[in-house]
Amino acid sequence: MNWTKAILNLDRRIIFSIVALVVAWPLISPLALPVVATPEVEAIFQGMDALPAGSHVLISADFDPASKPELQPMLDAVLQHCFAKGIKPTIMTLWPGGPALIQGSVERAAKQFNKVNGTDFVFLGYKPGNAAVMRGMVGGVQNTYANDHYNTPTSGIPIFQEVRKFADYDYFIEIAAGATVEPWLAYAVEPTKVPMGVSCTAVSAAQYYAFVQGKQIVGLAAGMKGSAEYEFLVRGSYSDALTSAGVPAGAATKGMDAQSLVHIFIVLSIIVANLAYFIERKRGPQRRSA
Amino acid sequence: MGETLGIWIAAGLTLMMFSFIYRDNVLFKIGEHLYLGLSVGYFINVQYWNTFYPEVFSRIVYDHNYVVIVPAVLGFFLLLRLVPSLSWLSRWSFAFYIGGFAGLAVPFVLNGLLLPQLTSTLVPFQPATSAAANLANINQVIILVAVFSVLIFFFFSLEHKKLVGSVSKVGLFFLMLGFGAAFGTTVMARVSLLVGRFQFLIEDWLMGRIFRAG
Amino acid sequence: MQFLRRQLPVIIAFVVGLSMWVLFYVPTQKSLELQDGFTLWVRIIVGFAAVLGVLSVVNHHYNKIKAKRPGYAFSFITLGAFLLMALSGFIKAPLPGFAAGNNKPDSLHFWLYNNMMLPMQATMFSILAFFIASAAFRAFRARSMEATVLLVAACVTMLGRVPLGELMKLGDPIFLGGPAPIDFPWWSSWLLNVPNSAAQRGILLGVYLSQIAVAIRIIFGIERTYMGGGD
Repeated sequence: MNWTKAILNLDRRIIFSIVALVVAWPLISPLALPVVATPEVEAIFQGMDALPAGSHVLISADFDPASKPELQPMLDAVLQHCFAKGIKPTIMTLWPGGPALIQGSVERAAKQFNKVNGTDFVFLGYKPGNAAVMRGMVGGVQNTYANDHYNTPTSGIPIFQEVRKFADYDYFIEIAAGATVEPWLAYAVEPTKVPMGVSCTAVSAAQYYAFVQGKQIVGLAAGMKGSAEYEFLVRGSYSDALTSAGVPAGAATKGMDAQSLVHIFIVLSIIVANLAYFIERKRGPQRRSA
Repeated sequence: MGETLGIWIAAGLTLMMFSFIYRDNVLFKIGEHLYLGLSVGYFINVQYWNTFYPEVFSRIVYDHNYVVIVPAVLGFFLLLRLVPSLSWLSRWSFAFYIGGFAGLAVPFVLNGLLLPQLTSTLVPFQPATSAAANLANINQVIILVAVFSVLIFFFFSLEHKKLVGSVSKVGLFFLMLGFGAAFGTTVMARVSLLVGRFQFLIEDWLMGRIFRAG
Repeated sequence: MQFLRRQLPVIIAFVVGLSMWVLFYVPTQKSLELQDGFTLWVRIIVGFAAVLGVLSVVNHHYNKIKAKRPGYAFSFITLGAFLLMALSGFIKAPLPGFAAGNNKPDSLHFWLYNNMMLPMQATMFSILAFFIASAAFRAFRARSMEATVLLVAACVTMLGRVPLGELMKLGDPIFLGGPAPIDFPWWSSWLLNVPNSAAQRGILLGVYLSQIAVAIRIIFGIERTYMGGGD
């Protein structure tokens, strides 16, 4: 068998094994490739960074464990940014599988920066009904969430003396694993004109560039790479605050070496497989069957 | 101890799920069913503590707001979908919320999505004072041509021949560029998830629990 | 009876739908309160819809065990895991070694979520990486002009969106202020922001128009598939 046939008939388990090796190798022996921020992620960061201390940011963390490696680092980095800057985040979720995961991020960041629940931040938890919750938030946060995630009545939470409805927020960050970006835009962001930054899974990123181009959203952080860029920007500007809080290196940044190598492998394998395919095709059907 | 045990169990379950790569097998099936049961158990808790308890129970018992009994009854009707003789009652509930959402969708989708996307397709040129402005203007023309030709590609009331056919071919070219980019970002997403699991296996389990202990 | 089964749902959808539509154009406090009331009702109803899903799963596995259908042993695992997870969140008393409740980080409910549900869900979706790599190798061929364009766009995006690809730059700018012929970050950024966003917009405009059309059809009772079959 010649090499082209061998390539075209390669057992898929060999490809699987190479993928596994290519992912594992840089995690064991990191390459420390530099992460550079794209303008779309830089725009989200700058939008948040321009806010004065004491501002209020709403974060809708609409994801669950299925997209944890892509989106949880973004949530962590945004929370670190808020706490390092003295911004007060309100965190909520529309995904039923997410509350425990998001609670972990919120409590970890609050502990690192010594922030007090209710005064410096609030975690509202989950509510079903997507568009109904979004419209509810526009009407009033306390009408939509009578209690926070810990069953504390929102009427007694100090933050809600300062913000009462969606339009009162200075910035809105949507971290989306699914189709919640467009409803947020339609039902809450466009009617109130609150600036919106989006972090999404890379799968849906291509679609949301239309909103970046249309200036409906401030910026877009796509997948793990977008999260790594945000981690890079936060660490670049708040290195001292992060070090004194004992924040470890970001998970997305650490994953970028492996991500790079797998992409290179897939591109190379596509090129090699196509070369083999064209050489085989040129040989013609008779020689192929011979 | 609980944490170490947890990491070992998580690593074992991760490997069990990964065993599917070799082929469908009994370990994967166990994992699959275990996951289904756990997630359903988790969802019922989330729904109870975030919806039923604060929105229905608290409002009736503590706030004496008896109006919420009506949507609770409509919600209960949804469950009757499982009882064939009474499943028609669930139509009232579906009609209420699907009808309501339809009513919301018309003005909000129009004003929040359709019109802003349309208007940002046709914007004034920038003064040609720099290379960046020139590039932005060229991009703006490309966007206009691409959006128009893609719309023509999906417009089936005219036969795709002659001029319409040529324009629709241009649309197909832009669609392929878009789908290619989408495929690239899809690969990116799937690889990220794999990297995340390998990070757990290598950093938290192998390096954190096995080699560190040694 | 026929009125209650078939006509009343259409009337409900018409009245509620038209009210929500009209209220958008009425910027009064009363209008906002009515919308708030509607969103509360919907949150409650949708909460029950999720329970319907849970009951369907439980019902399916209970019936499977009852009828001893092939693979019914696995259904014991599903129901056992369901009961364990559900009870761990509902029981308000502390369990040995764990705190009580459903939202404490050291509760059994959290432990099960973090160490069992989370790794299994995350792994299940990560498996796709192997299959997408294999599919790209086996099926991604430049057989036609369209396929070639798709393939090139995919490769440029893959290379331009990772740190290693960002280091790959070669040649002089092809025009003033423009990119080098090999400058994957620039080309992938242009690809995503210009042709891709335009192509996506073409699709999205169609989607939004059809969303509005379907919504109007539902309000006016032309679209009734939400009612399901039967009388």
